[in-house]
Amino acid sequence: MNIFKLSVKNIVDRPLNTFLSLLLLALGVGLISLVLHISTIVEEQFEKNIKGIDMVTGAKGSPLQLILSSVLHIDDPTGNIELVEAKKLMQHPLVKKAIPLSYGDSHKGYRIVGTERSYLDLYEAKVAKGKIWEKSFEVTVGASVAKVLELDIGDHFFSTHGLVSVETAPGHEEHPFTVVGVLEPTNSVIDQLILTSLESVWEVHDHGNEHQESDDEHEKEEHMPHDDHEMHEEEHNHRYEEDKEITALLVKFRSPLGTIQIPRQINENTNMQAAVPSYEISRLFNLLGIGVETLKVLALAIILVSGISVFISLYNSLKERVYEMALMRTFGASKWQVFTLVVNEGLILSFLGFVFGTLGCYMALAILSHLSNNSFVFSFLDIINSKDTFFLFLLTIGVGVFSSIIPAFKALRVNISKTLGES
Amino acid sequence: MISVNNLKFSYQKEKSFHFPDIKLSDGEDLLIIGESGVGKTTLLHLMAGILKPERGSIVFDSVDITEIGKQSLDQFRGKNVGVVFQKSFFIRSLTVMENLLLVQNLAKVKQDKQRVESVLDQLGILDKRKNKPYSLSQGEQQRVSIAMAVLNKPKVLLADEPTASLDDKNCLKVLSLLKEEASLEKAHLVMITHDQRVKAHFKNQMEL
Repeated sequence: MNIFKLSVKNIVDRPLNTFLSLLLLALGVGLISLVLHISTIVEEQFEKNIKGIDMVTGAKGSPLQLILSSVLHIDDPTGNIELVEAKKLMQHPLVKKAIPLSYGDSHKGYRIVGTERSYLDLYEAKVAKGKIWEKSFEVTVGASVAKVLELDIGDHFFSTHGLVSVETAPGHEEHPFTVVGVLEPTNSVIDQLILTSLESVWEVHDHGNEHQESDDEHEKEEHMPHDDHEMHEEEHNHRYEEDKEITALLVKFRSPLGTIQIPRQINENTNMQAAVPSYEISRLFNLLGIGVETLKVLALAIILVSGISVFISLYNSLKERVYEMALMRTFGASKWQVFTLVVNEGLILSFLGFVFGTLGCYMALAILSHLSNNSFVFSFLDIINSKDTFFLFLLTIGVGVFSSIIPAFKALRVNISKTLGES
Repeated sequence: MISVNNLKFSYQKEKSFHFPDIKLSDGEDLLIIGESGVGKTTLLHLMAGILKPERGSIVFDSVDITEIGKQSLDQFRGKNVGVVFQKSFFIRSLTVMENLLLVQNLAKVKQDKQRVESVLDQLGILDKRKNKPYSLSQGEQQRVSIAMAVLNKPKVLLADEPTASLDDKNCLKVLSLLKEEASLEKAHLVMITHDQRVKAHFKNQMEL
């Protein structure tokens, strides 16, 4: 038996008070830690995804929607732009790199993006298995897509319109895509994408349009699909340059000058729109920031209340325990030992509150990560190592010390003779 | 050997106590009798080192406890003085055994379960060692208090009205327990009381 063990026994001896204090502490710590980590993870994720993209050009509409749809692939496209127009922009001397994207369809909630190989370089994506798409309707899938949908090389699937994952969504059931490769995890948006050539997307839609117009005709012709296909091929070649459309063009400039001049030129002089990802994302975070701040304040308030709860619990128990303090002093305890006894109780409570809160936060993140099909990745070590966690730890321990210091001084000042003599 | 010389203590200016000198040779016990308000408890607390006298000396063997610094006085008290109060006090959250182990720890004496068990056995409450003290009967609680007071083999065992609230039968029982324990652990038993029943049991007596 010693002072520390006695502190633990005292805490256990008043289970309801301890439960309330721990619950409040863990709730406050867990909430604040969750808010901090989610905003950090999301911010890092966003920053990683917009890295290397100075500007996005797409159809007119909301610039934020353009960024969310073309860079982060969490929104619907604003519309299409003509490939010819986009090509003109690609020739501009200030443009270093431009990656065309064509999207809109998906497979079980994962977006199918027609693009060029340079898109892989943007996120430093490497092939884990198989190869990069070559022919039309060959796809290379991101790591998460392959994992969640259990897709492997040689698998076939059909695409559906939009981003819905509902089975009954209208689809393109005549052109199956074939998986030819799986990418390594990059912890970027590419993990969530099914990548193919621009031509594949064009062909699906050309075919789709035709299909709708001549539904009956098509059924009759079904016995000769080979000819049908060839006919389309020819048609495509004719229309290739003039009629082709893409959904967005990701642009990297040679110098910062590009970011200043070109978006304005595009927005004023063409029927396309240009948006700067870093600007739109910071605008988005400013909007979200109010919510994040509110949650932080709320969580801090809970931690404060938990501190008061620890204080009341210690202060009340001390009323009965002055006799214990006096008794301990009689048996040789020094003033500082009884002081330490009370502070220990505050420290143990706040430490446990911190541990439970952090574990709770980790579990909540794990569940969120699972629910969102691993669209954000984090590790427990990251949480333990983060600066936020460290400050939160100091804050919690501080609350523990502050809430126990007044009761502790009361214990230190116990008048042994008076306490034991008057009873 | 214990000697108390020229001891004076004041609560306020009006209320001050002069105590007669005390001299106890090895093996001697003392009964201090007095009515309420004459400073019996004050004298006991002074001898325990819980209160500091205005002047005078309290010498245990060769150590004057009025001259020890506060920190070492706490330790000295833990090792050399055992106190049995009129009412029994314990650490609520601990069992009887744990209370006694804590008493060893606080006095910086090596924790020794066998020693605790033998003291509990002497007092006939070994089977209560795993109980919480406040769940025991009054008599058992008093025995635990005595166990705590004698555990560290103190030089002096101070008892503050231990028999005040007991009937004749139990009064004798506690009295003989205290005397037995004191002689077993070779401690001076110094008891203060206003209880006339115990007078016959002490050779050395002092009226306040």
